[in-house]
Amino acid sequence: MKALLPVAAAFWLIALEPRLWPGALAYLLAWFLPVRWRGELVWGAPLFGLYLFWGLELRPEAFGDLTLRLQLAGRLTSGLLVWAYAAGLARRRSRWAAVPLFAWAFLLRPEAAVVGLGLAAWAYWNFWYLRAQHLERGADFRIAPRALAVAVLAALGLAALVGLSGWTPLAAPRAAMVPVPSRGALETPTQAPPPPVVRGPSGRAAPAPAAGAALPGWVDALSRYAAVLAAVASFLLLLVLARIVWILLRPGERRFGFAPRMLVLAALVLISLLFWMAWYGFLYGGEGVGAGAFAPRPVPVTAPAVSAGAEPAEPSPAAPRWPGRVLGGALALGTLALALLIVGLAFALWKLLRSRAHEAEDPLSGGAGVRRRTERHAGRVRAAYRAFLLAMRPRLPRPASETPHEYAHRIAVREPALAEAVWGLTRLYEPVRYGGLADEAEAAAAEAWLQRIKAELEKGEET
Amino acid sequence: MIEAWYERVARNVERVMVGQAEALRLMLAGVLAGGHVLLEDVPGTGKTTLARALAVSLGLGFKRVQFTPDLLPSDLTGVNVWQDGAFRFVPGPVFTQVLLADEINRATPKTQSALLEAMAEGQVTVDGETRPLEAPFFVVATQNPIEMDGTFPLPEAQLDRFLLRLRLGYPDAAEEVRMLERLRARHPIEALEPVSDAAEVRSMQEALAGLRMEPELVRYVVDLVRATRDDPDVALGASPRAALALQRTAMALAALAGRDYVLPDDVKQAAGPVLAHRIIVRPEVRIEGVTAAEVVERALKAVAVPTEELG
Repeated sequence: MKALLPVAAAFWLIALEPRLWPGALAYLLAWFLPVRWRGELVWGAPLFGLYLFWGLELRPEAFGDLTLRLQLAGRLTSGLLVWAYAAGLARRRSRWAAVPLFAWAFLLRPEAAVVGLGLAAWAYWNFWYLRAQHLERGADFRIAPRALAVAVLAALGLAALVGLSGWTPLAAPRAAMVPVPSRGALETPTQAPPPPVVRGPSGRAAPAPAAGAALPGWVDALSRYAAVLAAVASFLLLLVLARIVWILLRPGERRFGFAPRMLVLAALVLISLLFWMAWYGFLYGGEGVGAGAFAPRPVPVTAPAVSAGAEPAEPSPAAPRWPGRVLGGALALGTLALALLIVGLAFALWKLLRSRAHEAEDPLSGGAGVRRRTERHAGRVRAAYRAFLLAMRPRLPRPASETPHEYAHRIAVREPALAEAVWGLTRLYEPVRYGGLADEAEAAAAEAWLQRIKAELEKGEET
Repeated sequence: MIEAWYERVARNVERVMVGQAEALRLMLAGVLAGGHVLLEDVPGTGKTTLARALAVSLGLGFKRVQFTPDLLPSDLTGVNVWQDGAFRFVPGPVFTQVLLADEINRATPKTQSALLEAMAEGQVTVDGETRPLEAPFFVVATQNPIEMDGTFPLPEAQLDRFLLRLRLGYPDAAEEVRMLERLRARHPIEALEPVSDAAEVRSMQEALAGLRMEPELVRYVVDLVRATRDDPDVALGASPRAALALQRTAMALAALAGRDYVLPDDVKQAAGPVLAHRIIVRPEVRIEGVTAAEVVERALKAVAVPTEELG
């Protein structure tokens, strides 16, 4: 499996600018960590996204400016804090209590809503994913109130810190280091914002758009939102790519449990890439037109002058029209997607052949006609047994030292009406809990036994 | 596969041994796990018959040694004798596959310890030369727990080498009637035929390695063993070797039940026979009647079985 990583690394290297290679390589190499830590890397994907997104400004000249340095340090530190906190929660059952952490994005600027939505989508995705994981294992899935409270407090604290530092994560890539216009500036577009230094994603100072007539407020706002959307799109793209790598790294049966939903993710990738390409024009992060791709006219930034101390602007290269850029990007995307597809297909084929070979070797499998036994079905059986334990708790709780078999025996003696259903469920549960996987029929049977037990219990209460 | 083998052997043994199905199951678990068994009970409960019937049924070589105070180590292991101008090794009764060490506690510790190497390593060293024993090698030792005069209690090191200690107990009335009816003429053990062979036993032992044991169950085994060490009434708790023995016996019991995975019930069933003889209870509580078996029971009630967390 790890043999695929160099291939993936090669794609990253092709797609990214050279100065981003160290971070991308570090992230990929981190997948060599022990299995139990890989889950945390998924939580780290947004941080990696932040690195790639704002890493566009990681150029040497930025380090000569104290303000820029502080801003950079603030961004990286708060990103790291978010990651560490989420990762810490990830080790607990209520890891999705990390969701409120992302509320901080809403507290900063109106445009933050867009980024916030992206983050919320990511958080929801994690929530769904983790819920499925828990159910697979038959484990409890609920929010621990204490963890939630800690998360809210941490979010508020972080928001306060961020607010005090004056840092905002919401600058579009081309103007990330520029003081961001205030809410008033957005609401009254005729008011000129402070003169910005417009920097391209490649790190060079890019020519500011020519001064022109002020656009209506909604065009300006749309343009800015489009810029943020592009950021969100790239963010989602990175997330989806990380997810794909993650799912490929999952062992055996567990990998394919989410296969149909991966189609949705693939669609997300496509949409994200379209946004991204429309914004940057090229996958490698060349000088794109930014919001201009979305707005009918250039963004009404009226002060093209370069601020003192900043590097001089270079003459603008003759940029192709935006359809040309999109087509160029599409070509790059197509190449990348094709290569990924070939690798994915080869991998799937290898998995299929290997699983067939295992089935042929394993006399217990029954050959090609074997029923599909998966962890998801096992999770359903375990969840049913857990629900049974919860249902029995008020009436005849199971001591911790009692085995499922002993417990079933005790219930059968004390509650003969439940005996058949309890034995039925226990006999399904034992091989799953201590032996491994289950199939659809077993999972359905376990749930049916559970319903029967519940019905018997309700009947008993009524009488 | 193992379940069918077990059924076949058990049916054969039950032709001569009535009412000891549970002891037989545990003994076969001992065979599968590659361990040795100490049968401890009063005389006349069928210890020797069970061991012999098992050896015959498994198609293994069988030798019986009556342990007495004057038994020497060389009487067990064999000696080099001068013959035709050279030393020739005359193997002792330990060179077999099933060795019945009858009333093992009547021999001196020196003789008892002569068995240690054979039991632990499956080999015997005589006059500096090491000779391997034919696998499978299985020692069934018996001792009488009541009549202790003139006996030498087995040292802890040797007790620890026994995978299981079993007590047969008396059969119930119906079983005893059945036994009398069946053994009215000559003892059927003379007519008992083997239903397995050494190669099959070895393959069964190897198949045990393929069984699945959940990591949480392994942890359960360790917790149980550690609980015996932490018990305030215990002077010496179960050793790490005991944990290994408990795991292997639980796996063997699971295999005999026809499962390819281990249940906590297997561990619980194995706990008493595997752990109790390895635990030394403090003398001050022993005189109050606390036994090693009770310590194991306490551990089983104190340690949580891995199932589902309810929060």
